[in-house]
Amino acid sequence: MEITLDKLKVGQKATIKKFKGENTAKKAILEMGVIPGETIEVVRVAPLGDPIDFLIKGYQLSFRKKSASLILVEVIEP
Amino acid sequence: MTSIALIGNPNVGKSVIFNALTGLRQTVANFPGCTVEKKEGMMTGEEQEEIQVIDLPGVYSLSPYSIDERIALDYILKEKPDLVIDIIDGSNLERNLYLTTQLLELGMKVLVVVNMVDLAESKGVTIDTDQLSKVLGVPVIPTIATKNDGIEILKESICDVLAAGLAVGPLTYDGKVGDAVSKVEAEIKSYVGTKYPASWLAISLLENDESTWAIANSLGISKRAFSKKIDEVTDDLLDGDGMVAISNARYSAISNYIRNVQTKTESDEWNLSDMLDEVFTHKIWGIPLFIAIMWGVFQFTFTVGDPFIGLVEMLFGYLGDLLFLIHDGAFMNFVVGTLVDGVGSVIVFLPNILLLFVAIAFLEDSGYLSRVAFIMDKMMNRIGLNGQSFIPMLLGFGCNVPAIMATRAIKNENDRMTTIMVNGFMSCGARLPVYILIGGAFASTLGSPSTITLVLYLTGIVVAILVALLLRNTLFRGEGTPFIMELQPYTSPTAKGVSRKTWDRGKMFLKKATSVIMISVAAIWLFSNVQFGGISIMEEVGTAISYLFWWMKTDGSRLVWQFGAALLFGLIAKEIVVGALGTTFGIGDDLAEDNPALQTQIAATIGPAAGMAFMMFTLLYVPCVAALGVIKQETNSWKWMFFNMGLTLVIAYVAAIIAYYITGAIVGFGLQAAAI
Ligand SMILES: Nc1nc2c(ncn2[C@@H]2O[C@H](COP(=O)(O)OP(=O)(O)OP(=O)(O)O)[C@@H](O)[C@H]2O)c(=O)[nH]1
Ligand SMILES: [Mg+2]
Repeated sequence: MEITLDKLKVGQKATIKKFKGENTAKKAILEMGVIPGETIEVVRVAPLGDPIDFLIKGYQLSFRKKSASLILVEVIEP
Repeated sequence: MTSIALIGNPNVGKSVIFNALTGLRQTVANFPGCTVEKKEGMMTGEEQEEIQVIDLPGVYSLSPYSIDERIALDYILKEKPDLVIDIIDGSNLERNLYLTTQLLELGMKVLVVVNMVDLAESKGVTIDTDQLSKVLGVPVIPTIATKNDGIEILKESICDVLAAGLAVGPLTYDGKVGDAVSKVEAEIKSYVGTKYPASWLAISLLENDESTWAIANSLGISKRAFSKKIDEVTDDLLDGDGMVAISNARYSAISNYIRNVQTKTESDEWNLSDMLDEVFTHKIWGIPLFIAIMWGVFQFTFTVGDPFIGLVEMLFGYLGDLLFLIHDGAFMNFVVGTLVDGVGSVIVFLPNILLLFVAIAFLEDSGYLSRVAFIMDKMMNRIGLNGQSFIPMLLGFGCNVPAIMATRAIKNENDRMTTIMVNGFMSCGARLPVYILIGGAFASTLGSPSTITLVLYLTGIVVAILVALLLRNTLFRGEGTPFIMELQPYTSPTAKGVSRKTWDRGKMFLKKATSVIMISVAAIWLFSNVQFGGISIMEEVGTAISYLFWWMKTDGSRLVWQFGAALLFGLIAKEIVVGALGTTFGIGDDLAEDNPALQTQIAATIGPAAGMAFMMFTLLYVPCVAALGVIKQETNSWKWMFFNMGLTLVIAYVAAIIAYYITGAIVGFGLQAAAI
C-alpha cells in the first residue's frame, strides 16, 4: 500500500518510494539519508502530535508532518 | 603556518578532540550546535613546530543552511587548510560518511577519525578501520575521545600526513550520475581554474545547490546561461531530479564502502536511551515532566544553596569586622562599603549560581535539550518559530551571552532575529540574587522565595513567547523553516564534564564580581557619599529614576532612591542590582551588612507590591551591557541593539505596573508589619 510518510503509524515500517514535488526541507532530509529505497520506521510522535521521530539508517531523525507529506512510501506489512 | 581543520557532523566529539590536540578547553555538550564559531588553537608537531588547529561548527553536509554551517564551509572552501580532519561518529557510520564523500569530491586532503568507538560497540557495531582506510584511500584512525583513546596515534598520523602529503583525486561516481557529471563537467571545464575540481562543481550544480551557484557565478558560469543545459542533462539521465539522484549516488557509494567494514550484530534489546525517551517524550507526561524538571532545577538551586549562603555571609561579616579592627576611618568605610557591603552581597549568592550552573551543565550533557526542542516544536511553530529556538532560550537561564551566540544554529534568519530579541527575557543566573534577596525580604507576605522565583521565570518565558509572536508577525515576518533534528542517544553526564563547565562559568562570575561589579559598586559608594546640601548625588539620581514609578502609592511603601540607583547601575550587569542595594542601604552603618539585615531594611522601606514590581522590572529590562554587545555583534547592527534596549524597557515598565497592582490586590500595598 502506498501512502505519504506522515500517514505512517507508530511502529510501522515502510520503504521510501519517491519525493513528490519540492519544498525547503527536501534537500536537508535527503542528505540525512531519507532516500528512495531506504527503510524508515516511525518511532514516536511528539506529545502535541508533531513532529514525528523516525528511525532511518540506524539513527533517529525527527521532522514535521508537513515535510513528511511530500514523501511517498510503501508500507511494509509485518 | 601549517593549519588543520576539524570538521564533522554536529555532536560527534570535534571539540573534545580539539581540546585533546591543543590542550585548550572548548565547550563540549550533548546537543547539536554547541560550537557556533571557528576556534583556533595550537598543537606541536614532531619537530616541535607549531601547527594551527581549527575547531569548526558541526555540519551534516556541504550545503549551508545556517550561519554556523556557513562559517564551517567558508573556512574549508576559502581558507583551504593543509589537512582536513573529518571526524565521524562510529555509531552512525553511514550518515556521517555523507560529508566525507563530499569532502572527497572536493579533492580535499582528508584524514578520517572514527570517534565514539565505544558507543558503536555498545550498539553491537564493529568497524574495521584498516579496511575503511583502504576503500576510502585516506588514513582512518579509531578513537574514543572522551577516554583519550587513540589521540596519540592521531597526533602521529597528522604529522605523518602533513610530512608525506596525500594524493587523492576527486571522487566521482559511476553509472548515470557519472555520465551526467561528465557531461556538465565538459561544459564548464574551461571556466574552472585549479581552485576547485570541475567534477565537484558539476556534481553540486546538478544538485542545484544555491551556494555553489554563487561560486560558479564568480567563475563566469552564470545560472542563466548554464541552467538550461543542466536541466537537460538532469531530465535525460537523472529522471529529472538531480537532488535525489546525487544523494542516492553518494549513499550507494557509502554502502559499497562499508560493506566489508561494518559488522552489526542486531539486538532487539531495548536500550536505555529508548526507555528514557518513552518517559521524556511521553504523549501525556512529556510536557508536564519538562515543567517539573525546570521546577526541580530551581528547588535544587535554592534548597541546596541555602545553607551555604549563611556561610559566605559569615565570612564576609568577619572580613568587615576584621577590616575595622585594623583601621577605623573614612578609607576603611569606603573599602568595607564596596568590598563587603557591595561585592560581598553579590558573592553571597555564588553557591546558588554555581548550583544553577551545575543543573544547566547536567541538562546540556545529558542529551535532553534536543528532546525539549522535539516536544516543544509544535508550540513554537504556532508562534512562528522552530523547536530549535528553544535550546538558546533554555541556555539563557544560565547566561544570555552564549545563548544569543547559540542562535547561529537556527536556519532561518527571521527565526534567528526573533530568538535573539527575546532571549534577554529568559532570566539569567545574574538575576537570581535579586529574587532571593527581595523575595526573601517579603517571604512572610509573598510566600516562599522559590515559588516567587518560579513565577518570575515563567513570566519571562511567557513574555518571550508573546513578544516573539508579535515580532514574528511584524518585523520578522516570513516563512518559517522546517524542523529537522537528530535525536542522539542520551548520555550520562560525567562529574568531570559538569564540574569543568560549572567551574569555567563560575570563574566568569567571580571575575565579573571582582572587576565590573567592584568598580560599579565603588562608584555607587562614592556618589552616595559625595553630598551637596545634605543630599548625595546618588540619592538625587536615584530619586529621579524612582519617579518613573510615580504611580505607586504614597503610603511610604513605594520604591525609593536606593532602588532607582540599583536599576540604573543594573544596566551594566544585573549582579550590580544587589550590590548597589547592599552599598546604598549600608551607608551610615558602621558594621558590615549581612543579608538578613539588608532584607529587614528592604522590607521596612518598601511594600511587597513595590518589591514585586521591582523584581519584575529587573527581570525584563535591558539584559546587560555584555548581552547588548553580543546582540550588536550577532545582528551586525546598532539599530537592533538599540531596538532591543527600547523594547525591553517598555515591556519591563508595563509588566512592573501590572505586577504592582496584581500583587497589591492580593497581599496589599503597605509595609509588611512583621519583619523577618
Ligand atoms: N561515548 C563517547 N562520547 C563522546 C566521545 N567523544 C565525545 N563524546 C561526547 O559527545 C558529545 C559531543 O561532543 P562535542 O565535542 O561537544 O561535539 P562537537 O562535535 O564539537 O559538537 P558541535 O560543536 O555541536 O558540532 C559530548 O557529550 C562528549 O562528551 C566518545 O569517543 N565516546
Ligand atoms: Mg564543538
